[in-house]
Amino acid sequence: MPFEREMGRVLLVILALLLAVALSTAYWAVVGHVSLLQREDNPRQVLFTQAIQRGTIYDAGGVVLAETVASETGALRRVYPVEAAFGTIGYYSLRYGTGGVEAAYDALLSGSDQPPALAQLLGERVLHRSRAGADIRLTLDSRVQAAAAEALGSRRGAVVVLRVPDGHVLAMVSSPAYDPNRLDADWEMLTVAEGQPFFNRVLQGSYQAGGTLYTPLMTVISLAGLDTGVVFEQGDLPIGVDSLTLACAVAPPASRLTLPEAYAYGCPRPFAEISMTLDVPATMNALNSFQLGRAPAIASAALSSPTATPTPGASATPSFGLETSSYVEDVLGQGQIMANPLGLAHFMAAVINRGSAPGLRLLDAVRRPQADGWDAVPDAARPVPLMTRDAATQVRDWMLNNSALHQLVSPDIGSQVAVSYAGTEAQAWFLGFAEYGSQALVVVVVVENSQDVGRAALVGQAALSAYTAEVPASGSP
Amino acid sequence: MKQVYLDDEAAQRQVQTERLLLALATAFMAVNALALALLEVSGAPWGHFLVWCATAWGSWWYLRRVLPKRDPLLLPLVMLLSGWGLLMIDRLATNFADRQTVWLVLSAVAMCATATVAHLLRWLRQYRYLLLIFGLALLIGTILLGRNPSGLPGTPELWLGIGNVFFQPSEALKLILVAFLASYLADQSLLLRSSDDPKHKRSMWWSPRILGPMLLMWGLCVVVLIWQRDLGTAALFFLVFLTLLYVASGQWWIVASGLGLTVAAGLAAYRLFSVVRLRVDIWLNPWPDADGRAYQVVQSLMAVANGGIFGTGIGQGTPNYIPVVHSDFVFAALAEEWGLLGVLALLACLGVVVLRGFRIAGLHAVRPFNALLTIGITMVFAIQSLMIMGGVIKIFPLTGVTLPFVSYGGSSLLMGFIMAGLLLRLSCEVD
Repeated sequence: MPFEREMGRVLLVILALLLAVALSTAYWAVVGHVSLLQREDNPRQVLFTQAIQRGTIYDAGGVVLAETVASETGALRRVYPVEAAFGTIGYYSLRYGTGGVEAAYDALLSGSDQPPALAQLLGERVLHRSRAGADIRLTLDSRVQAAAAEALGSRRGAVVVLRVPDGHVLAMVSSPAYDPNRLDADWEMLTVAEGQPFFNRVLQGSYQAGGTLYTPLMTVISLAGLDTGVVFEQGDLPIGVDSLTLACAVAPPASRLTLPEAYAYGCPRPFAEISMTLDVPATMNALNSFQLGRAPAIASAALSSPTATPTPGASATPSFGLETSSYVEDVLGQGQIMANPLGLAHFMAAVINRGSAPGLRLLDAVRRPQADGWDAVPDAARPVPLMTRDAATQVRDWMLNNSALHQLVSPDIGSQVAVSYAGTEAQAWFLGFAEYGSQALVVVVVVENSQDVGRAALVGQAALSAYTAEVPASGSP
Repeated sequence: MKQVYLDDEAAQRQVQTERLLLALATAFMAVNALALALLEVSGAPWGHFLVWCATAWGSWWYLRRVLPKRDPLLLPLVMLLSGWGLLMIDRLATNFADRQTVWLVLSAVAMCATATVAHLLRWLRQYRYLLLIFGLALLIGTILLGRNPSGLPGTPELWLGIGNVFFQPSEALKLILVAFLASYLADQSLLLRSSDDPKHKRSMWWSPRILGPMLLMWGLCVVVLIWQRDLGTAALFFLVFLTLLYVASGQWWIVASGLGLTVAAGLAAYRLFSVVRLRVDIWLNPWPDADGRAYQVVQSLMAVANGGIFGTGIGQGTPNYIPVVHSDFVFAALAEEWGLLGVLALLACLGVVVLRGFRIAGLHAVRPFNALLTIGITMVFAIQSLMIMGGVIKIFPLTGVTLPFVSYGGSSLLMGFIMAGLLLRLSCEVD
């Protein structure tokens, strides 16, 4: 055979090239497939995500806050039925990703939080069943949330309600919010909207502390063992700080005020005077240690989406007074110490919880696909001691005996009202609590561009009253 | 010429083997047609399946009568590959499936006719220059009168058409060139192999016997590349020619110099022709332009990745993200829906076709024309398959050639079947 040797060589080359094709295909199909499929420009990724049967989000009483429904054509759509929870639950969009609770628990809701079991893999890869995520039950109480949102109305601000001692977050309202059912259509408008609806004021708000700092300051005074019975003549007089004139949040009936009375009416002068008798570094250390300016971590939740959050505007992060801050400005809340609604609520929870701040939690239970019941999520972080039991008890008593707002809020609600200033804008605050046997609720309200502390108090009272109406039966869905 | 002697038992065994393989191919087709019908992604998979069955079993029945000693593997493999292709077109481009089915029937008839005509091999050998002139006329005709069936401006005009029926002459040119070269080199092979003297070998460089066809083929490839912007066909012609020249002469330096010429031509083409530059740039690094010029290649790689080992199953992948998937990128679609296992099965089929081709060539010990024709046809199948599969998975720059028997394209299918018919004929006419 004349061509035998050459034919053999050519055949070898061809077979080697076929082998190379096989190996290269194996590489892309088995080894390099993850990096390829996870590319952002892979349209298959969108299809896969679109087909996921995302888990339902319930509140503590079993009210559906978000669910996935199928249209007549079989296309899946995320629906948010509770308007009051819009800003908190966030959004799920194929185009814009996730935000809020949807983002915080995305792995659970989309079923990607743990390696798929063999049966799930077979279902997905062989039978092409769409992936199903877990249902989650939040600690939120939609009645409290709705009451707070309704009372706040169209005002800009935030309301947060915590339960003590278990640290459950019952309500988180940030106003203005957005309608996640219309997110894709409204996105462009929302990103430039006045009031920055994507900005979660409960979690990201950083306000001048103002008179809210009097509660921590009362704690420091109590810890220092100062005599709080001393009377301040003309304690109701305004005080000038830089270019600001700070006055009482609520006009007191008399000019002579004790410190608890000054605290009740939110009058700054007695605090300015007594702060001069305190050890300055120790006071500042104590105030800073309360970490009022930032939201504490909520167990296993990263609730704010940086990509969807516009840069906070001047009203949320004022710079007024930072350069000229002094000790007095600091203790009057117009210096460097900032306040975040959730941070303040956490501090308040420590006051009500005998000095220990409970770990916060928003996720109560998880129900896996095809599972019969709910799996309770283990308790959040252990309580953190912030003050002594005696100091906490004394501050709690001062708040309970606060008579300044008794015509507005129920006498069994412990409270404090305050005003803070940022540039030309003011914020009205209400810090309150109500006790129900072994449990208590803490509420913090901030209303932007307002000095109407009465309105803030009414919002707080509305939120607390909604809870007292009926305690929801846990785990009902 | 004499027929190979096979005793009755061996002949019976071959018939059984072929029948079994064809039955397996039919089962494969039936299962996939059923899946397509259940998924309702295709218009008429059952109709096309039944036509395929009739074509496959009709061809088997006819060839069994006229060519009882044929190779038992080729027909089942060719029918399996073409049926697989028909399924893919049914799934990927339903509106083309009817037309492809008609082409399949015509191609099978052509295959049977080719395998039956007793003197075809002799005619191919004797009238090689006539054949070459006919081929060149086809090429010139395409350059002057070529159209694109889509009618879109800026698309390659590689087809000749009458009314709505189009034919791609470069497909016929493959066979014409292979037949011409086989005939020419068969005549020269004795001379090419006559001496082991190095001086004599060196003088062969300048021998018109080598230089002539080399320049002819080079010129032909340049014409195809410049006038038709058809990189794939040009590369295919030249590589098949080099292989035949190497087999006929036994001189490795011919391959080396030919490859050198190819590389030099490639470098020049990279500088001169935007289509070549584009293909090479995309091959080297497609990722920066994944949404633009490299979209097809990147999407095809994603399709392969999406298929994994087992594939998504027919009708359940998303290969339609790849533009022109039913033609140039049918391999990627196959990899997505049948997975790595499907690709290995396809490669095995193609590998067996190549092995059988070389086996048939090996049987023609004293008939160099038959041997070279067999090798040439086999190499067309092999190189064309490697070029498009390697291009899809980024081993080589992408060249727009079809995957034999599988891709959509009537001309390609028809010429593939005619070449398969020749192989079947050659498998009988052994020494």
